[in-house]
Amino acid sequence: MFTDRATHPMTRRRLLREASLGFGSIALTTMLHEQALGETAGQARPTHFAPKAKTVIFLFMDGGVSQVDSFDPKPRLDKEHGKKPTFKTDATVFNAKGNLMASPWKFKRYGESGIPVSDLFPHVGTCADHLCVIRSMTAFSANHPNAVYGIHTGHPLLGWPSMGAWVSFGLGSANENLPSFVALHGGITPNGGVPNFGSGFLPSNHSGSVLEPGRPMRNIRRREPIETQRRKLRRLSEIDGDLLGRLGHAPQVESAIRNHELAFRMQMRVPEAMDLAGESAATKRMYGMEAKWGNTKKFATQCLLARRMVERGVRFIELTTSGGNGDRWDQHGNIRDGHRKNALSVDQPIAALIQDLEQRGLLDSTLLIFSGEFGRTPFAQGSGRDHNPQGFSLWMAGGGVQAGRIYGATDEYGYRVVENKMTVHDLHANMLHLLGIDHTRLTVRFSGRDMRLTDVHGKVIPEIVGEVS
Amino acid sequence: MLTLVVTLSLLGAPESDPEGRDFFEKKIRPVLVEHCYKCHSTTAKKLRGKLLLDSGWGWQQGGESGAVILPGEPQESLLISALRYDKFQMPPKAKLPASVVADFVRWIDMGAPDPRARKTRDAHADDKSDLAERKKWWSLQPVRTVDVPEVEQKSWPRGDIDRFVLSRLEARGWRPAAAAKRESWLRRVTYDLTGLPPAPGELHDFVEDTSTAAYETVVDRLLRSPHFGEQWARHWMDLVRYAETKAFEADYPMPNAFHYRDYLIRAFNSDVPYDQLVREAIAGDLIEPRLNPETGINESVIGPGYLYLTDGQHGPPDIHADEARVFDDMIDVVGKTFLGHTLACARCHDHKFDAITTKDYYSLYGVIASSRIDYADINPPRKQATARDQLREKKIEIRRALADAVAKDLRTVHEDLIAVQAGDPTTPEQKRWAEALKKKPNEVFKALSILLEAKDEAAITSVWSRLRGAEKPAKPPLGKLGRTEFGEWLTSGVSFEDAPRPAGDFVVAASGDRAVAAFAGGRPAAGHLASRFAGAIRSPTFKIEGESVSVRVKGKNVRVSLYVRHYELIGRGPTTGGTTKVINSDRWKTVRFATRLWIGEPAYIEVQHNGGQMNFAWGIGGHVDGSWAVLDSATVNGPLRPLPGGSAWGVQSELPTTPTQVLELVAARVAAIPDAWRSDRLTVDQGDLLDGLFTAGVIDLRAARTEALQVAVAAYRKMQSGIPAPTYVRSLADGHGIDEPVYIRGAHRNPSPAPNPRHFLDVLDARPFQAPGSGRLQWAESLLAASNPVTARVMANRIWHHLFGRGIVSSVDDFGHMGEKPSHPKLLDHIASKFVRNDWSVKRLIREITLSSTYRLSTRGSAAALRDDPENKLLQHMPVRRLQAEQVRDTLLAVSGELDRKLFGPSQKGDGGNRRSVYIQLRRRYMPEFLMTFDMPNATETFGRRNVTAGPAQSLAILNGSLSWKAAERWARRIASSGKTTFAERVDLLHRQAFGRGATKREIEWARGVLSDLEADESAVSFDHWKELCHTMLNRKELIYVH
Repeated sequence: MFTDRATHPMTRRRLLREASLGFGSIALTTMLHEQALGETAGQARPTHFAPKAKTVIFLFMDGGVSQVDSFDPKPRLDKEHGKKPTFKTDATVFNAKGNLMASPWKFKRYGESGIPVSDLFPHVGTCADHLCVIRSMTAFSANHPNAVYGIHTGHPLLGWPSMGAWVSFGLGSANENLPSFVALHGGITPNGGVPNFGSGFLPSNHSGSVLEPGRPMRNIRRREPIETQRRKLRRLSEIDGDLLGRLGHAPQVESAIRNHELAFRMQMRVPEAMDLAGESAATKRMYGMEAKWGNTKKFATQCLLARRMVERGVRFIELTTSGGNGDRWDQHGNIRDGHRKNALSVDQPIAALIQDLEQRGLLDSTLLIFSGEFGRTPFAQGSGRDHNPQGFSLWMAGGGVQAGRIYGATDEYGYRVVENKMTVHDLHANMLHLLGIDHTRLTVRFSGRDMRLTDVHGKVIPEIVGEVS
Repeated sequence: MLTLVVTLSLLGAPESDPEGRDFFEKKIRPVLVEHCYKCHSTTAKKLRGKLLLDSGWGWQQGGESGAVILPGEPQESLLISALRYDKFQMPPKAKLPASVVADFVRWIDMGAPDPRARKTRDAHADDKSDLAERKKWWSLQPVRTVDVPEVEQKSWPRGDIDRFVLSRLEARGWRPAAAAKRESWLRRVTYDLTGLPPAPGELHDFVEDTSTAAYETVVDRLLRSPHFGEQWARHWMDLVRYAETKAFEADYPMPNAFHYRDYLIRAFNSDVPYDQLVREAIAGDLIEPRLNPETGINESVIGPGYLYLTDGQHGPPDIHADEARVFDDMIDVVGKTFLGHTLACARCHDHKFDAITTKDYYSLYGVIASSRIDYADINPPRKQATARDQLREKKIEIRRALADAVAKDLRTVHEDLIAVQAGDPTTPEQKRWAEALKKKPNEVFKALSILLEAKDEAAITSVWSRLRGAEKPAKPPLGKLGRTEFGEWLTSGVSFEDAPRPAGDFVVAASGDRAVAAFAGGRPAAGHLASRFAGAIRSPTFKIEGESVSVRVKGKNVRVSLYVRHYELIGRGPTTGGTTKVINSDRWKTVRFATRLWIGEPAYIEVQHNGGQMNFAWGIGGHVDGSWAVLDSATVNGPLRPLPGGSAWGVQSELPTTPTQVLELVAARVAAIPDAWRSDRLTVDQGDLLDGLFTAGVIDLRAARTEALQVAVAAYRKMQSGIPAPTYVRSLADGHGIDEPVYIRGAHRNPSPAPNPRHFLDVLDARPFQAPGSGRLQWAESLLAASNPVTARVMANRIWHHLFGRGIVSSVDDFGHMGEKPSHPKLLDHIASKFVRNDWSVKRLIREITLSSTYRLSTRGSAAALRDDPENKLLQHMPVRRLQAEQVRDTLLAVSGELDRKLFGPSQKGDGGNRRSVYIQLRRRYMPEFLMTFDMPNATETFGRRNVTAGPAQSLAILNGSLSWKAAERWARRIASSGKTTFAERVDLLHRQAFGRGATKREIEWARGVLSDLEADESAVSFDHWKELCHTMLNRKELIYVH
């Protein structure tokens, strides 16, 4: 018992049988078990229609990448550099509005698609033909926490289920030995805290498990030799089986008993998934694990781990950023230095991830989303830029997204969206669509309403996801 | 609504415009008739969005979303956006052809000429009929007195509850499950009532108790346990999303939030009637205080403390939006907690299903907007009143002694002044006068020096008239603050008392040489008796105009704050950092708040005595003696009221003609002071003069001046130091009543033209509140009115839910259309009405339920019930329930013998050590992980029914977590010293401690098996072996399930 699943498949039925008791109707309990709120994310659920993507990797660029310095070139800023903005501006957090500031970086067109990418991202540039760049993204708020909650949960306040939790809830698990929503932590918890990975009113087993390279997941490390624990769990299954026999009918207790087995396997599988020893030197080099800049190595590790998670059927993987680059991407000052370091940290690893997934035939079923919580103003705040929720850029790649495309536009300064405005609800709707889920039908009754990730909004956009039937 | 005005003024012109008229008739009217009238006309069966499109008048009124057509501005017109399927999608069935949309654009561009005659429809009547229809919903029906049903199995029921349950079972032909074993029942009821496992001794007592009252004995014992309050307070904390920090970037702590938790524990322990709890929750600061019978503290003022336990961001770019967000949270909590209705659903539109209107929502919004955040002192009011009386008495002695001293200083005032005028001051008194006239340290001496300089009648007349005019305020004082009355300013706490201080009143210096710290006559002041009384004074709500708001104050440790739109985190955030300031100054200081960012927003000023410690830190800082505060005046974007100068010298009433007369007059006014002061007959002007003499150093008010003074001051200070320092809690204080508009479609920038009168709920009582103040008291009384059936039903159902794991209405926070209907409607009414009849006693209802046969059922259901009632709605048997998160943790501690049963106090950091889980500090950004794993709610909204999940993380938490390993170790030690010696006895004890029952033979064998796994045998069980066995025991699922 409790050995490797591959050699000794441990079914629930067998667990019950080995508990050597005659109790109630198994068929009935099975059925109830599946309906109970407390079921584990153990089984894949049918999608609403054929999915293109099976997994999402969310590359969260915490703090807000400047769109006019990355994926949305604005020649007008070069011309009017140093002048006062003549357009109407909205209130910001610091209410510090300086003069227009040209981008310190040059843009180049890449690939057949000719998508312009700034010199901040030379590696990602080479993947341009995989990208679907959205230049008309907007955020709920100019405040970090609200915007961060917004992009994570579709709601500007704390406490709502993260999109990863919704994906886990909607798709179920493809590998019950691993959590289906994982945050590969780079060191900086997104503004607003761990509730960004929370399950809100969804069952708590859908909340994100925070895994930090080099550090074990919470409670995953055994405090006793494996054999001792194995024997302990065997004894437990025996005596817990007695309990089940006495209770007669207790699907939730059955489910809890079964969790011992899941927990046992997770203890082995999670460290295995996190172990890069088996990766080749070439792969590691490609990701940037030998780079000079420490944070590049760190993010390279996260990206490589993300690929391993994809291979193991994790549904939603979020990568967070590292400290030491100048307060996330949040460069209110000294944007030259901060953005350069931030880009340097993620550029090569991300490009490698895209290429690696492609080589392994996984890119088509893996959706990557690269986004901050908002963009930055085209005008300066000292030597940096303030928050800009009125228009910014993100990109998606893989997972059936329309590659080599640009969608939407901001005005001549890159301040406000003027074409095909996109909200976080739209982003989530399109993400779910690619996963085979109709965002209007993924609901949970709570607080007197049928709650959705997309609230009562969200547009599926053919230019992004392709033909919508 | 501005747009509407513009619209109207633009009309007329198109009337005489044949081209426009023609275009309308040809292109627009037919489309409106065909596609819009069905829902948007006077003849529509049901008018949608309150929008009429069958006359120009109709659309000029606008609809729920405000104006829809802005003549001349098609791109800004909502109608066009709807036709384009942008913001709205109209007509809903299919988008109209682009050419038709283009016609509408053109028509609006032309100025929207509309020749149709006015047609009206009373939208209000529509609302009423709709509301009448919605009022038929079950939960709004009066609680009925129901006949208890007859049952066949007459011997089974122990009470009426059982008859209701049984009759439903019998209707199905079912029999109730057997009774649970005594041990099971004991464990069940002990967890339900106290959240802890039964101790082996309690198990023994109960099992041995063969009397008929055995069960009653247990229930009564548990109801008396102090842990009862901890368990039931925690349920309540789920409803009010109790947490102690503000989330967002900085996760600021909310000082002293824990008092609210302790208040709940005390309230449930002493079985405060639920109607009283409700009253306190809404208006505890406004009712006759409920004093704690033991300590005398003011309990009821703690009641509203949960409302502002919201999250809060620092420096919101749109402060009005932030208020709307925070208030929405409060409305949601209040609606669900007390009414079981999702009131917050009516923020943007009338509730989609329930009888809740946007007017109800914005009525409650207005009630909250008419209230203010307050830190109230709960120290025993009666003791405080006695102390104040004693201080007042003693202060008379001080005043008299001071007056005597002053009389000495001023005895020769006339000669002194003459000498000074002559330029030849010689005595100490004369030198002091000369110095004061030279330095002119205050308005009184500035005025005096001017008066004395006038050398002839013309000059005197001119100077006197100038000084007279100088004191006329440029505009009326903010909030009509007078010298003898507060005007519209409001106080909370006791330290400001109920009027500005009488002339000549002063603050006794708490320490040091001086007897007097400052004079406070004619102004609101605090600390004039002692700094250990708490209080604040607040302006009425005003509208911010222009650049600044200024407040003139003096004092020690005084906080002056500007609350804009009730933004709570004063002093925090990039744009809001300047909204508060602490003052330490004997002289007048002007605090100026820059308000450019908030022009047009409502705000109020707060002056807080002892304010320095009121910070967003974990505890309100320790009390520092010596705080006092005097408020002079405040102004919105204008000059402050001039400080009095000339009037102290009588410029308002007298007019001398010669310098000699001036000197005589001045000297006479000064000379009159000591007597008037001694006999407490000072006028306001004389009080100002006295203050002027004091701050100019003309009189000497050191305590050591006379023995009488020294003795009185020492005695006074001793009395002061005997008063306990204030104990601050988060509460509310009333402002003036403000009716808020309805924010159309929830948009705070789109208010309805008319304010929405504050009232309760349209469906239950639509009468506007009449009394002054926020209306909270009226709101509370309406909640409890006999005409409101919901309040009692909701609470009775919550109690049922906590005892059976499922409410009679399973959606405990939602008694509306989206909730579940009651499984036993008659039973619900039965317990609800009994609850009210029994004086809203929570404990009596719990007692009745836990002593019922129903609560005594075993968890083994019959095959038929399991098949046909899988959710066990009919309660043929008891459900198996998992322990709630706190119970899991508390059980690990209790079983191991390490649980610290101490009650109350500041929250415990980190993992809470050995204290019960209810005392763990709850930081929104870092909620306790162990508890969250077991489904503790995340403290962001009302959670009357927790999720119950079972994921591998729960297994891992006990299998590998430090808590259970530590517990195993301690438990092993506990067993070693238990006095039990044999292996079997010890294993039996482990079972009694963990599961509330003895071990079976099989279990003792099983334990031997565990030993054999460890290659040990029972003859030589080491500590480590016991630890292993204990750890294994803790991982048994029986530990966390109640059956």
